[in-house]
This record gives sequence, C-alpha cells and structure tokens, in this order.
Amino acid sequence: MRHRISTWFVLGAAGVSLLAAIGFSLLINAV
Amino acid sequence: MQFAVRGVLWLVVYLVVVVGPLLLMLVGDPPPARGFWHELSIALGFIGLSMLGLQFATTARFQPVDAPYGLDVVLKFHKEISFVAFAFLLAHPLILVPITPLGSAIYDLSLLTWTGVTGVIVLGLVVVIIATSMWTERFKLTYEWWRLTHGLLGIAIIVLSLVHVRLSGYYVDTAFRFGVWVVLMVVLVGMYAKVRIYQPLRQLRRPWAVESVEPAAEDTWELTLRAEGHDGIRFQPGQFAWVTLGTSPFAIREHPFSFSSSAEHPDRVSFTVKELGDFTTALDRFEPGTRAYLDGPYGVFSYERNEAAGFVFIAGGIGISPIMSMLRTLADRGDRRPMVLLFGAPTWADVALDDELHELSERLDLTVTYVLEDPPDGWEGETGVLSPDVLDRHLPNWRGGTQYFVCGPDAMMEAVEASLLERGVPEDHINLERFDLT
Repeated sequence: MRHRISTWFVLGAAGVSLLAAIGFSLLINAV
Repeated sequence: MQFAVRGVLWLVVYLVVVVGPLLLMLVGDPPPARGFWHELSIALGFIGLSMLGLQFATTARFQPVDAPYGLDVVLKFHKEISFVAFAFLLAHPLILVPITPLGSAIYDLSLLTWTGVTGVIVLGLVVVIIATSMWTERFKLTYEWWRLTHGLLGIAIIVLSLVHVRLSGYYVDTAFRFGVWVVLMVVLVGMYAKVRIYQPLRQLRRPWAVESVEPAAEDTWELTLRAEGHDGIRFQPGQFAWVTLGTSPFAIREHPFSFSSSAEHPDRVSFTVKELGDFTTALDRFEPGTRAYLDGPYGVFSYERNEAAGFVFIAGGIGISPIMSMLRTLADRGDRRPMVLLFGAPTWADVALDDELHELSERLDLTVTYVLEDPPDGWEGETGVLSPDVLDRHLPNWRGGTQYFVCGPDAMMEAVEASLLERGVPEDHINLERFDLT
C-alpha cells in the first residue's frame, strides 16, 4: 500500500496544480 | 494515524510551495491579462518551475519527511512528479504557438528571442535529465557520474529557468515578484547543499572503521563497521543507511545498504551485501581499519512501527538483510512473540547466514522454512518459489494481529503481496521494502 501512495500524491498534485493554473488564468482575466 | 496525518501534511506543504508563488504574482498591481489560454500557459510554466525547484527538496533526505512514507516512496514521488513537471513545462510553449508569434519563430529563426532560446534549452535539459535517469545503463553512466551530472544539470535548469523568466519580464516586472522566484529557488537548490556539504561535514565528525568483511553466502558479504570515537547510530531494525567506504563522504560514492545487525548495538553495525555492481563486487578488498561513513538511518520497514501479536517474515535472497536485523534485535530484547520466516533463494549456496538463523530459531519462538528453486540432492524441504501453495502450507493460523514483512526482488514481492491479500491479510499489515532506491 505504501508504495502506491506516491502515485496517488502525484495525481493529486498534478490535479490541484492544473486547477490552480486554470483558476489563476480565469482570475487574472476577470480583473 | 500519526504518520498518516504527517504524510498528508507534507503533501499540503508541497502544494503550497507549488502554487503559492504563482498566486503571489497577483499581489499588488498585476499586468493586464492577455486571454485565458495565454495566462494558462504562463501559469503552467511557473508551476512547472516550482516543481523543478522542489525536486531538490524531495532528494534532500529530510528525516521528518522520510518518517511518514519511507525514503523509497519519497524518491518514487521525485521520479513520477518529474513527468508532471515536464508535461506542464512542455504545455507552456505549445499553448503559445497558435496564439503568439512564437509559432512563426519555428520557421523564421530571426524571430527567435533570447527568451525563446533559454526556454528551449531548459526543455532540452529536462529531457536529458529524465532520459539519463531512466536509461542510466544505456548511457553507460556509472552511478557516481549519474549523481554528479543529475545535480549539476538540475542546477543549470533552475538558473536558466530564472533567466528565461527574467527575460520574459511580464509577471516579474517588480523586484518583489522576481525576488519571490529567486528566493524560492535559492532555498530549494540550497537543499542540495544540505546533502552534498552539510551532511558529509556531519559524517566527518562521526567516522566509522571496517571491522570485518566476511563471506555470508555465494557472492554475499557481511560488512561490519565499528564507531570510531562516538556512540554510533541509533536505528530501528530494518532501516538502512547510505554507506561510504574508503573515501571522503564528499566523494558521492555512497550506497544504500540495509542494516542487518541488532539495533541493540548501535556502535557496531553490519550490512549483508550482495555483489550486484562495481562497488559491491569483491567487498573484501576493504581491509579492516578502512575508514567508513554513514548517513542515516532511513526507511520505515521495521517492526517497531507496528503493534503486532506476531510476525511473518518473507525474504527473497538478499532481502534477508533487513529481516536479519529485526530477528537479531528481537532476540537481543528477549521477545517471545511467535514468528515465522520463509526464506526463498535460488540454491542452498545463496542462503545467507543459515547457521545464525538456526541459532535464532532457538532463542526466539521462530520457525524457519527455506524454499529453494534448485535444491541440492537429498533436499527434503520446500522447492520452487514462494508460491501461494507454499504460503498456504507455512503461514501460521494466528493471523489476526500479525504483521507481514516482505523483502526481495520486485517480482517476488508483488506475487507474495497479491497472495497475502487474496488470503485476507489486511493491506496495512503488509510491509514491503524495495531496494531500487537509485
């Protein structure tokens, strides 16, 4: 189980980062 | 649970460092937006840069970060997240190609700017650093050269990325905004100095000397070190350390070995080492008295981290090393809990430390079963591999509250883990240790 943690963390980090990038673009285009 | 909370906490810290600097670009009076796709591209570039910088942190061997996951999992994250960082960095120019003059520069090099040149070089170097790590043998890179080039390429990528960001100039038009990136990268790259300079300096103050190098099995050695002028190293049985032998701790010639000795003797430690590469071949060339250095302990493969009513140890070949450390420690501590050891090896000559295992089976409530692929004539024990049938014959009935420790080749561990899960062993009772750190 321990060895699968890293893959879940990578997917989580990638997803959150992508959402943050989209959010950044939407925000700066809205102001 | 405590480790689970700390594990999630470090992920949150990671995400804050990845996303935080980007959000700081919005502080004050940000420049006017240039459309959704353009700003998305910029955001992906900045996030990719943060991730590249954090690669230095994930290899800095911080014991608090190691504790919840184990260093092997942290290094696996380091490898896997590099592909995400590369994808973000690649998306950064690809999104810009159809919406900016960047696309024209592909056909007309006179349009190419220094911003573009530095960006292309950074992407190229990221490809090189990933490729040389994936195919180290194909590039004929020794471990030491790979470590050196990996670090230097990493630093070059960060420096060129900062030049690229400064030249583009859009979000880094103030000293504060550019300063955020410079400070962040200096701090993160500085973590490389922790491993390369600070830790070797600490090791110099705590030297070790080779006490003996004894044959333990076919192509396998038991290396014993004694502390020179200090009280040794406190470790949990089953953990590992990076070992430097016969050279300076600054020489980048360290190798991760599992302790095989009892944790009750921190000033005299042993490692059972199989001959696998240049360094581990003919380990007996290191004479008694040879200077040695240790960086550790690391790893989470230890019975001390788990409450258990009994233990099942399953070793494949040299995977016996960390398990031996646990058995020796349990014996030294007079532990009376029931234990089973299943030890798989190609031949009897590959079975390490069998005399001592026999002795341990008398000091502990321990049953040892050997499983040989190619047994000698007259062998009456188990033959073949650690198959489900073998497990069914030897796994104890007292399974509730039992912790399972499996160490050996990847294929063997995957097969054993699958068999244990099929037999209803809870996933969090199965502990695996992989040796593919490097």
